[in-house]
Amino acid sequence: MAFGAAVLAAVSCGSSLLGLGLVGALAAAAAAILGIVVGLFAIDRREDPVQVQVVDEAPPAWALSVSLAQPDRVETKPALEFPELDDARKRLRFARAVAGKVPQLTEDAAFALIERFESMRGNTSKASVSARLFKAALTEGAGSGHPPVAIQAEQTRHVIKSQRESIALMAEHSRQSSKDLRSMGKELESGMDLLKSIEEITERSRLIAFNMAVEAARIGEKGRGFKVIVGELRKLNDMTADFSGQVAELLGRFRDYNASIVGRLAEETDRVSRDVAGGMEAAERAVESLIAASGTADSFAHEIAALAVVIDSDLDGVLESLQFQDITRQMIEGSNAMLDEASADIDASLTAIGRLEAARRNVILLESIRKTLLARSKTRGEKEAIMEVKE
Amino acid sequence: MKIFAVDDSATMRKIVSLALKGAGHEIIEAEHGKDALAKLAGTTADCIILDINMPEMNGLEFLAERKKSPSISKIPVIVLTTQDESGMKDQALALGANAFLGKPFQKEDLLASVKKLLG
Repeated sequence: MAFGAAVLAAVSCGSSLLGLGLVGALAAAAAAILGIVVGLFAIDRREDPVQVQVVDEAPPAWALSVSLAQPDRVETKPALEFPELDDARKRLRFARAVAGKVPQLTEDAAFALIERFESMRGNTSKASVSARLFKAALTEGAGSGHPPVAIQAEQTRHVIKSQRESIALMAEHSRQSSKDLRSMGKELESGMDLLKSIEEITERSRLIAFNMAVEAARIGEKGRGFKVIVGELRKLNDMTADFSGQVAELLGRFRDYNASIVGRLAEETDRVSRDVAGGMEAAERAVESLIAASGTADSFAHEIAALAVVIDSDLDGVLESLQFQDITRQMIEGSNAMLDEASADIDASLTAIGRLEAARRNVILLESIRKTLLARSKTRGEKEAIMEVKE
Repeated sequence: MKIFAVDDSATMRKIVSLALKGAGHEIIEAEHGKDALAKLAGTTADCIILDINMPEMNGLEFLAERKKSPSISKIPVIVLTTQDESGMKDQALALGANAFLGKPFQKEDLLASVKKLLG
């Protein structure tokens, strides 16, 4: 700014004031430009490029003044431009923005994968333990003093077989009893037939007693003894008839009762046999299923244990692969850091180019001013003084 | 056994942790050398699995600090790193590392190294 003020002052004073004061102003301007150029090359590249971005894109006020005063005398040269560098910066920033997300996404994905596998391994491990415990309960007992389920099932199978045999035997006995009772019923019928014979004998005995009584009456006094015998015989016949009647009634009731028992026994035996046989079959099927389940549980436990081993091995493989992924992630992080550095370098270069451009413009303007001043100088001394400033 | 897994990569710490937990070890994770030193001040360790390339304090710097501290200088260290420069292993061993494993590692190799060091 000191340079600009000095030049402005010098120009506005006009030719009458040209002399040492003008030379001093020119010298100050040159020193200022030199300072900018030296400063440009002294930029510390480790500093934040934003902090060294001090290029003033607008032309200085003194340059405008000179330009207005002598518009046709200011040299115009093409500005320093590096569109490729600008382009590279844009591409780098885009690449950095895209690649910047990759490491975190990679790590998130790796963690999610590990967690899922861990969960799967945990569940398989639990299933394997449960299967082993189930198998142990079936084959070795649950540790509560009870025999193993498989052994209990085997014992129950034997008990059921024995019970079925007993039930079959009982049914056989029952059938035999029914048969015996039916035989007894037939014998009762025979007994009743026998009683009919006794009734016939009693009837004939009555007839004999009647005949004897008739005969005793016919022979008169001599038959008195017979009368007594006939009387006793009649009493005996009556008693026999009463007894036969009572026995017949008793046998009849006994026969009916026996027939009723035989029927009910056969019916009940059949029903109980059917029910027990059905229950036994169901129990037998249940026990057989339990015994089969024991074998299935055994192979199930083996399969789950094998699956747990496979998943464990798979997890190891996944973890090994994830290491490559993590190494790649770290490489991407390294590449990102390099992109950041490259981007910073480009920023610094563009800043430096801006400063160079500003300095170049200043040099052009200085030369233009010098020419203007030389043209306006009147003495040789003034010209020499102006030319000296160049050095 | 209590083992420190010192690595700036959370994924790698998790992988090391899973490999060693499966063998019944307790794992304490640290993100870098300085974090490990801070955590070791409050607890003991039987072994340290150490990465080299880390921020804040790298593995070599940690080894140098460990050498100075009597309370942790005897804890065996397995260096686990992707750094495969020829000098890296020598530097680590010179600074007191007890074993050196490259990434990616196999679980069996890590377990064998730990077993060998812990006896």
